[in-house]
Amino acid sequence: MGNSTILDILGSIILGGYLLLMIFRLNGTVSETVFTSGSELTVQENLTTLVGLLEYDLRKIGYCADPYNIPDPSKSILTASDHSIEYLTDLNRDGSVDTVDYYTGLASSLTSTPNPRDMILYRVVNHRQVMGYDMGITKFDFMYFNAQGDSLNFPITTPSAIYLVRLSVMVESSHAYDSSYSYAYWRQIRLAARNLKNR
Amino acid sequence: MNTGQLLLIVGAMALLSTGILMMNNSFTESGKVVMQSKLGITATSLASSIMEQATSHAFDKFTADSNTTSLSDLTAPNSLGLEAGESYPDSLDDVDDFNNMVLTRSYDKGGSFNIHFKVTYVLPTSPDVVQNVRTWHKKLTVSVTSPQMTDTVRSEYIYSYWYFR
Repeated sequence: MGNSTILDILGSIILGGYLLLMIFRLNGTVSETVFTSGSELTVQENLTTLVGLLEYDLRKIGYCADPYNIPDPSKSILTASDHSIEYLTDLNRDGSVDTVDYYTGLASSLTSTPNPRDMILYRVVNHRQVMGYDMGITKFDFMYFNAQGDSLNFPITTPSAIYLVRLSVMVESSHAYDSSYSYAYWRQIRLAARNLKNR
Repeated sequence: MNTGQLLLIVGAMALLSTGILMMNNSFTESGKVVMQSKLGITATSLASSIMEQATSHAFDKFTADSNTTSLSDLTAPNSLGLEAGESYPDSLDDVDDFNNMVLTRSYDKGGSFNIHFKVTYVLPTSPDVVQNVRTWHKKLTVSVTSPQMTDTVRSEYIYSYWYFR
């Protein structure tokens, strides 16, 4: 075997190793891209589904097909805290008053997913029908403002003072790639008892 | 190694490089689409929130304190906007105060957004046509742009005046 052949073999080994490294790296990148794209899509779909539900429900705070059943819509928020709200509305537009309660469970209670921050969102209608939504919610924070635009301090002892409700929602993926979770964020400001405001 | 083999190696490397570049480009584009849709969601939430806040105000300066049945009481089309002494956000009292206003919002989760407002009089029969006379309907257009976004999120809301006699 001559010097030239040895050089050829050495060169081939170096080039081949380099190519192998590139392929391994590419394989890792493909896996990461596929995983994160899928996670982002799921997270964004979950968020838009959740926001659709919340938009539909929260915009009807204080609404009733028979207005005499909620004579003072400003008193339609019964309880309000930083992670929950309970209010009066008419879900089916049948003139009967319904009570809707949104609150979140503890992050530690949702052990079926690796994400340590996600929690279940509960929606309770008329204190009976409990629905739990496991959509990767990691933030479900309310802030309340009075008619002057000042934020109300917790605990809120006079819910009728609430004029604006600000809800911040963050949804994260249940599984991480390289310790990084995909997320999507929504912040919504809503009028409490919209029917009172038209003038 | 002869010239033929060398050419073959160079060709193979060129093919491989092109393939990797194309794949890299595809990943970059995919990342951009994900980021754009994420920014779009935030921009939509911003537009609807701002819209909600704007519509919490009275229909017109005149109707903030009293009722009217006469169009002549309303603000003239060329006077829509902030009145003297008014400033955002504390002293706004009617929806047309937002006309030509530009606000900037930044989120800690990424993205800075510019919000442009336009308020015009419209008719229900032709809501896309700006009226140069007073009507009972004002159209509020909110456009959200961002240096990071390729598209503008635009949201429109028609605010009508009514009251119970």
